[in-house]
Formats: sequence, C-alpha cells, structure tokens
Amino acid sequence: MTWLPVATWLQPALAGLILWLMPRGSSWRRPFALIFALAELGLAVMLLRTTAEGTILVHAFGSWAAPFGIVFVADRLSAILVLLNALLMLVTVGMLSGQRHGRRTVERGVPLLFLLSCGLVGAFQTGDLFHLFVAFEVVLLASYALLQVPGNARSKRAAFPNIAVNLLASMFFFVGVGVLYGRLGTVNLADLVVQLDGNPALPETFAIYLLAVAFGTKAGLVPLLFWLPASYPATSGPIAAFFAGMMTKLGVFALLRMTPLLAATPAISEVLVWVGAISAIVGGLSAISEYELRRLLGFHIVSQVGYMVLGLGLLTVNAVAAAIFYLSHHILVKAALFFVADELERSAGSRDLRQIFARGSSRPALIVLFLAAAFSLAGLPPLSGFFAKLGLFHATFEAGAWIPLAALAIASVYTLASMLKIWQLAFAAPETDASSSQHDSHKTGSLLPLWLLLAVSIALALLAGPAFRFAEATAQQLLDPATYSNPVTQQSPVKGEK
Amino acid sequence: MTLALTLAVALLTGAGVYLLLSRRMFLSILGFSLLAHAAHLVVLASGGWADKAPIVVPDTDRQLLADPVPQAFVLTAIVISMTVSVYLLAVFVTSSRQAGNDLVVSPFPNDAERDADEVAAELQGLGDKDQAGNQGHGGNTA
Repeated sequence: MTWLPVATWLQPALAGLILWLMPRGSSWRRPFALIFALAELGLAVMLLRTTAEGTILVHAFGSWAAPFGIVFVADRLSAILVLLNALLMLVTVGMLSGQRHGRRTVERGVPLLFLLSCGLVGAFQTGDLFHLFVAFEVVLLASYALLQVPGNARSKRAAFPNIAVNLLASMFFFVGVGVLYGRLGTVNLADLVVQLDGNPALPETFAIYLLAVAFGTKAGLVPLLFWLPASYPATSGPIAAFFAGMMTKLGVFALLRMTPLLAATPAISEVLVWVGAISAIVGGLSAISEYELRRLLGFHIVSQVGYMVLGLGLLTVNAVAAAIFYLSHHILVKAALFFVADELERSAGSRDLRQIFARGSSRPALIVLFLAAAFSLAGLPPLSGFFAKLGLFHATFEAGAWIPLAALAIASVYTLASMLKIWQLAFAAPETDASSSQHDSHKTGSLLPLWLLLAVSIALALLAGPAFRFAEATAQQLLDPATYSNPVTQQSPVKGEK
Repeated sequence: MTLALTLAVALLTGAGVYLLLSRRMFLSILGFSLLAHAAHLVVLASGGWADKAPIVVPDTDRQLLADPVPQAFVLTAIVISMTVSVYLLAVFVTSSRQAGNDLVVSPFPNDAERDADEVAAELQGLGDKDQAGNQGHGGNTA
C-alpha cells in the first residue's frame, strides 16, 4: 500500500495536465474534472482507512533509505487533510460552472485548481523538509495564477502584495532549511527530530524560528496578515472558497508537522500561543469593521487561524487534538461561507454588504446554508464549531493559559457579531423589488455541492465523540516523535504492506 | 572564504531590503532577486566551502570536499526563484502598462476611492448577466 501516498499526489497533477490540454471550449472539461475529483476522493478514503489504525505508510522514492532519499510519509494527519482536500476539490469543481462564473474561469481555473491540489497533497505527505519547501512553491505558483483568473483591475492590483509577502516568507523558509541542514546534516523530518535530540543550540533555534515565521505568514497570522484579506476577495468566488478552505491551512499544517521541533524550543511555542491569541482578536475586530463581504470573511480566517495556532502552541495532546478538530471543521465551514458569499455577490452584482442588502432574504436554501455555516463558525451548540471551540477552550483551561483563554472568548464574541452583521444586512432585511427580480436566473439544483459540504460538517458534529478521539490519536502520533520517526528511519518500505 | 561569504550575504541582504522598501515595483523586484541570492549563498555555505576537489574523484581527502546536497537545494531554489521573478516581471509589465507608472498600489482601497466603473468592470469578469439592470445601485452609498 505504500504507493497510495504517491498515487494521491500524482493523480491531481495528471488530471490538471489533461484538463489543461483539453481543447478550448470543450464541454467535457467539467465532467472530467468531476471524475478526477471523485477518483481523488476515493484514493483519499483508502488512505484514511489504511492509516486510521495507526499504520504509517512510508514510500521511499527509488528505494533510497530515509535520511538520504526523499520519502513520502502518510500518517493520520496527512490522511485527514488529503481527504478534506479531495472533498473540497469536488465541491469547488461542482460549484464552478461556466454559466455562473464565465467560460474563461472554468477553462483556466479548473486545471490550475488541480495543480494547486497536487502541491497541497505533496506537502501533506512529504517526509522531507526541503520537499515541503518545493511543495509550498508549487502551491504558491498555482495560487498566483489562480488569483489572476478573473483578469480584472482588482486582481491585478492584489497580485504584487500577495506575491511579495509569500516570496519573503519562502525565503525565510529556505534559509531555515539551509541552516538546519548545515547544523544537523539532514532535512528528513523524522531524522531532524532524532538529530536535534531535544536540545537545540542557538543556530537551530534560529532556524526553527525562521520556519515558524514562514509558516505563520502563510497561515495569515499577526503581524503579516494583510495580504490574505487583500487577495482572497480578488479572485473568482469558488476559487476564493478553495483558498479559504485549504490554502491557509497549509501554513497551519506545516506548524502542526513541526510540533516535535517546537516541543524542543519552548520559547517559540510560547510565542505562537501569544501570536495566535493576538491574531484571534485582531482578525475578529477587523472583520467587524468591514463592509466588503469576502474581505470580512478573510479577516475572519485570520482570527480562526489564530485559534488553531494557539492550540498547537500549547503542545498538550488535548490542545493539539482540538486544533486538528478545529482545522477540519474550519475547512468545511469557511469554504461553505465563501460559496454563500459568492452567490450573494453575484445576485446583487456587488461585493459590498450595503449593496447586497436583502438579496438573500427570499432564497430559503441560501438562508439555511448561511445560518448553519455561520452558527457553526460562531460556535453555537448543535454544530461542529461548538465542539471545536469547546475542545479548544477546555484544553486552554487545562493548560492554565488564562489570558489566551480570555482572548479566545472575546474573539468568539467578535465572530458572532460579524456574522450577525452579515445576517442583518444580507438576509434579515425586508426584500425590495430590485432584489426579487433577479432570482429566476438561478437554477435551484445549483447549490447541491454546497449541501454536501454542510452534510459533512453536520456529520462531524453528530460524530463529534469518535471524531475527537481520532483527533486525539492524531495528536498523540504527532507529539510522540518516536511513532513518526521509527517507521521512517528504520526504513522498512514494506511497513504497512498487507 | 567564510568572511567573504558573510560579507557578500550581508551586502546582498542590505541592498535587497533597501530596494524592497521602495514603492516602485521594479526596484522591489530587483530587491527580491538580491535577497534570493543572499538566501542561496547562506544555504550554499551550510555545505562547507571546499573549492579544491570535485566530488566524484575516488580516494580524495574528505576535508577537501564540499557537501553536494546544499548545492542541489540551491539549484532547485534558483529555478524556483527565477520562475517567480519572471512571473513578477509579467505582473510589473501589465500593471505599469495599465497605470502608466510602476508604483505599487494598495490592495486595500478605501471604499470612497473605488469608483463605480471599476466595480462594474470587475463584475463583468464574474460573468454576471444582470449587471446592466443593477448599475444604478453601483455608486457609493456610504
């Protein structure tokens, strides 16, 4: 079964290539994209089932033993993220239609989305820090191009700041990798932990700090956060939804992956807790003051990424498990909100909430979808966000981090307030004549993929117990370096073969 | 050699950061190139600096050898940074052609600054058919 991580990685790359080479105007592009996305979902489910019992799949390319060659390692965390990525891919391709977003968006956007997905899946499963850097670059290049898919003044203006910040972070990442290699003689993630042996000297600490800064920037944490709400609204709606769901999670994932390194450098993990707390507040406050719908949601991402990073910075099993649960829940719910925002924007012909005014109030399906996603994000009881927040609050309480706990509580109020703002302006206000005339152009079946997203989110809430236990097992796997390192460094490619 | 490398990295970083802080996009792009070179030198230095022997000759004294792995890293990174540079230059060309200058503009325009035409043009790109009927609302209500 060690081919499985490689298959999940190559499939989107091939799919992207095929979709790109299809003739212009071909009506087969979308059906093919859906089939490819379904295939990826199937592979991802297989991966999750294989790794669920704690098996760690190791694929050594060219059979080069671990510290020398590049390895792919799939553990529970990889499997969760590969699965969510495939699911969101399916939903995004389903929501992107030529009718609604223009033929050009589908023709250029869909192949690029698959390439982006390839980079993400590579990053989620690599066991090699330098390959992680390369995977980041694959993701970034695809995202730079995706940002330009609408090709309007807005997206052009957002291009430079977005690339500049990400490029700078990439350089930090690269230097960090170089310094770690120079000191420890390895870039294999498992071997790094072994070589570091729990007591880093100053250069190693500096390198780990550089990595944390790079990942934090890509996740949209304070202080380098403004590129995120500036660039996500600039692209086409469904693409922005995919970015919101998966792209920022790449930074959080990378931080999760380096938790064993963070455990060796308590000063840095402490900084992460505080940065997370500050991000939660700053993002929440900025969101309240926004009127542009997708930018508001963009600032929200900053706030919620803060939650996750705070959790993983605490480094207890419960806190990391809560961060993982929060991450999974957030991918589903945040993407759903961006899709709803796209629907609203297109029916109003504006991005501004004051002009979207009341456009949602006569579309019951959209109301249900928005309420479910928004309440889930705000953390109201029967939904997945409640369990995510409960877990995180509990873990923060256990760790005795009182001020961060207070910050989380305050940020929750901000989240609720900004969701109420959207509700008041877009849905609760009485409908005007201008808004009612436009609805007939939308087909009723068109929100189907979105219901799938919501169903998974509700399933996550209904199965919160087992899901949380799974997250705990994932966290244990992450925090105990031996369980991750042994299968890799002992290099038995047959491990997990059945 | 180490001192020369250190000085080169310091110089490249200093010049790179100086250029990066410019509001002119072209200078910032040059700054990024210099910073990338600084990063490449740092990583190259981590593999040692032995310029005395090639790596393939058997029976050479190991002290004379440089570690080839960081060189491979840097090679990869050069390709990546060149690709990104080309992309950045393309962004530079399109945006300066459009604006007539190459100043970096804020991605956060104040709502008052955004004119209705631009919003309308944006939404045309989103493929919104109902745009025409809605143009009357396009102005600023703030």
